[in-house]
Amino acid sequence: MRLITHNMLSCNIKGVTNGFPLKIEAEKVVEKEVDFNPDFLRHMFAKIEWKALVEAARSMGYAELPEDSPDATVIESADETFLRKLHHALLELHLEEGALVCPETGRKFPVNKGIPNMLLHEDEVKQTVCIDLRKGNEPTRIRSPKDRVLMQDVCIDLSLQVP
Amino acid sequence: MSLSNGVSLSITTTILHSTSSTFLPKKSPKTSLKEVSMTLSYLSSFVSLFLTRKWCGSVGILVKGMYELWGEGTCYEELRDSIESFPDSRKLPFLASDSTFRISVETFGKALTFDEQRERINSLTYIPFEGKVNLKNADHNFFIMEMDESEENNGLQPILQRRIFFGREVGFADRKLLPTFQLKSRTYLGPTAMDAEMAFLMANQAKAASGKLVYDPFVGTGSILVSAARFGAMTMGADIDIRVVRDGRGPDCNVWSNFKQYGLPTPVALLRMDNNLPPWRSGLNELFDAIVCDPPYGVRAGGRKSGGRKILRGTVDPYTVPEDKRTDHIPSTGAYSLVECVHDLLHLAARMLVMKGRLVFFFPVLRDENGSEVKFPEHPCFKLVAVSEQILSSRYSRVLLTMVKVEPYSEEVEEAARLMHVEFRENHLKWLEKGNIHSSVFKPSDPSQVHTDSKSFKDPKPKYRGKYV
Repeated sequence: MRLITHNMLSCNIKGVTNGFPLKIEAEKVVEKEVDFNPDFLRHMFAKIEWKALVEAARSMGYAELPEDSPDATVIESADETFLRKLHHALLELHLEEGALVCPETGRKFPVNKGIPNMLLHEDEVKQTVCIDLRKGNEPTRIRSPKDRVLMQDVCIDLSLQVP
Repeated sequence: MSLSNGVSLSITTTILHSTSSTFLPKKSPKTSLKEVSMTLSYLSSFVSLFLTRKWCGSVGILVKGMYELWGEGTCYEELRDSIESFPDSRKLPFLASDSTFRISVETFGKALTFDEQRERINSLTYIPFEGKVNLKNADHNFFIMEMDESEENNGLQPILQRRIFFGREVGFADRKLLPTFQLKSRTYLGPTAMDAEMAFLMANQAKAASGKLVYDPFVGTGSILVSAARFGAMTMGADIDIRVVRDGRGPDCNVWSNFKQYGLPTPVALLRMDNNLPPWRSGLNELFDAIVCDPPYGVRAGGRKSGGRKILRGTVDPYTVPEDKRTDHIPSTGAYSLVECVHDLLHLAARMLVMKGRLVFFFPVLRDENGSEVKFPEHPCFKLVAVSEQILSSRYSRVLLTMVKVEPYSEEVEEAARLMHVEFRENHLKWLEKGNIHSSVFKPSDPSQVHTDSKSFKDPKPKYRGKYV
């Protein structure tokens, strides 16, 4: 898993508001060479959360990135030293084995063979509960196809989302 | 098809660039997308251009070649007159004595013997070729293209009048890509791996090119991304099934090896995630240049999303997995209908595509004999620019939808989109009841052959006997 990916991911467990950035627990870091492509880097630079990237690179053992996000002139200039550092941090550092930890809940998302597993467990998935306004204030869980059809009718009338 | 000498015409690079949202004209059921496209590729190659430089490989995969038209006619005398009236200033630079050339004869709908070809080439003595002949690697390639009248032939349209064209090649598609990338020789395949030509077509539709980031949210074995990578794009993929993405069938037989097999750069990232509950951070948007995918139709490989099927139905409350079992626990997944899947895809694309980015995906449809309008999924951020049907059987086909993002994403847009989705799902459910896609694919088409004997009466909805993850 590269740092460019890490910069996009956050924890999406139900109820979590501050799931970014995920802390990296690195067990095995590998460096793989990638062709240098300055146009791609310039395009990506606009989308990166800088602080998160610097912190993540440090936890992977690379501390060459400047603390503050450089302004546009440095990126557009012909001088490639900064771009090379960015290239190395974003694309060439690989987390092969380890975990990504949610800053709010501490939930660990394992990384195996370079692939992060962002799938949630059964109790972390949002469960929608329908409030059937016609029967009063009792929340109704959908238990059978008939309930579902009933709920669909209500929800479409009220333009609400059907679970 | 009338062409005028030397005048530039727009090129139909692929038939998929049709701007109206209608199906292709009805042909006999046996015709596949491939056949129709091959016809048009031959026809569209007879187009004249004002180009002086060679375009190699950057042309859409269905175009056989692009030629500067020097002359045309219904017989060789007319061809001669036509070529002679073509301005010398346009001809002489390519006939120079220090260049090499080659003349080939192409025929459409018939085959010529070697002698017949040579006879035609020799009839061109009135063109002052000064250079030397080089059959392997000439500077300039010339083509005589001949088409005879023919009836409608195996689904191809009839040709009304014999025509002969003579032109200089200015560009060609790298059709050698197809045998190189064909699935037969690919290391890691799955049941839904996309055929190589189709994957290249999808990459063309998405305008995959160097410097662009292409994303596939249903990556599977990576067949579509391989084609996008071949055109120079950086690729990224995700899938809910971790066995397909991470493990493959071994350390040398997985998604990465598919890229290494062709010497292509491996994807920037591969993730395991659920498109229904994506883990993107909240500020992230407008990241991808194109999203190209083949979502699960629910026929052979159904879609899955988080939450076991009993949980989603509410039969069972969500349970907590005990701590000691958590590390190896594979979360259960539940049914994910096509409609919901496409809605999530549109939502993802609306948020994550750059402006003017392209969304290209397949959508299954039932083929209706009375040609009633089939509604496609819509989203307020997107404009549908191409609909291309691939007929799979007499009752079932899939359409490749190409959409371009024209509106930026916002909260209001999301509301409008959700309402559109509810409406679409309503119609889709009604349509599904009339003719279930699953049963269209698997059941016999002639109902009178099914026994009405109560013992062998089959359940109207065939049970899914595949694997549930």
